[in-house]
Amino acid sequence: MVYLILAYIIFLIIFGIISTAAFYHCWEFGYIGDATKFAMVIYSIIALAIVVVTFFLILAF
Amino acid sequence: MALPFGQKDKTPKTFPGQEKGEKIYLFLRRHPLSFLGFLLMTIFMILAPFIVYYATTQIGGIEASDLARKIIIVIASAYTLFVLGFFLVGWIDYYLDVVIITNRRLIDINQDRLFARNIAEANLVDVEDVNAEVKGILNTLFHFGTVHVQTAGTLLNFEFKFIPNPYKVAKMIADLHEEAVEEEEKREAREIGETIVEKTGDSNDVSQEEITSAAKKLSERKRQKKTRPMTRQEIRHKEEDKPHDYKEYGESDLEDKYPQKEKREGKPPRNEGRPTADPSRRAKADEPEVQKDNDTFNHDDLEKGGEIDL
Repeated sequence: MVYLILAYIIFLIIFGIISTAAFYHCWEFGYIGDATKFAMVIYSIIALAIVVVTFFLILAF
Repeated sequence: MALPFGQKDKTPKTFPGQEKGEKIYLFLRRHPLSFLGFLLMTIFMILAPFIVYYATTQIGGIEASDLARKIIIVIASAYTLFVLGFFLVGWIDYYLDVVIITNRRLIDINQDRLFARNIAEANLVDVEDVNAEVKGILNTLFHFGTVHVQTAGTLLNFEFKFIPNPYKVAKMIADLHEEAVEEEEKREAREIGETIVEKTGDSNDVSQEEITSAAKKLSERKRQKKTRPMTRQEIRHKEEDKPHDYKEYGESDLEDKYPQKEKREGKPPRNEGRPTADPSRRAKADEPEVQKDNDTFNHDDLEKGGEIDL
């Protein structure tokens, strides 16, 4: 169980690094008024929701 | 491109690397349908684990233990996050591919996933030929295709893929090229004049020789440009011979400026005021026919033995 959570956290770190790189591209190469900021916000909300639900399902049940 | 919740994708007025006095005439992204294949693939990737889970647990009747269930949840979560990240990278690849047409340059920005970006630009003066290509069912129905831009000499040739309204974009580039060439010629003439004034210090003291040599240089440059074979766009525009009135364009303005069907309601017929036939030929046709002798020989000359002019 501990190893499972540890593996999941390592995956989340790698996922976070790649997401940060993607956010950097959106921030740096996007234009004023385009959809890059909107995409970053939606992506963050969905990813956070998935992580929270996963931890809830693992730890609560 | 329309975004959810009523947001609108605004065409930017500035971009990195913009020169002083440079205006954006067209800011284009790839057509949304070019992203459709990737979107469908991503949806399938998200649904696949749910289908497998349903098949194994509900249909196959496999029951997992508590630990196994948690492992499945973690794997499913990791897989979903992976697909989400994959989708974001693919969307960045699509959304950051931009074509910018200004009053001076063509700029093609091509984003290839992460950490790979290619920016190609060419001056409008160097454009030699522009072609628009629409191939395929979806391309024809939804009006998007490829615009090929050939530039002078060993410079890059551009290929703008998945461009909406490619015919109009190609025509716009051709028209802007003409304007850029005219501006360039005016600038050269101005520079020659300024050079002469600098050398002499006073425009009134310019000698006739200097003016003549400067004029010769300019005419030589023009002649060199004219002696090269005309490109297809030059032939096309010479036939049309219409003045172009340009303003800043957005995507929605293309439809107004370049209507697909020219409306001729209320306009005079095309041939009005133009002679339909050559007047000199008509005059000759009015002249009475002269009966000509088909016999070209002068028999008297034959009898005399002289030379005959045929």
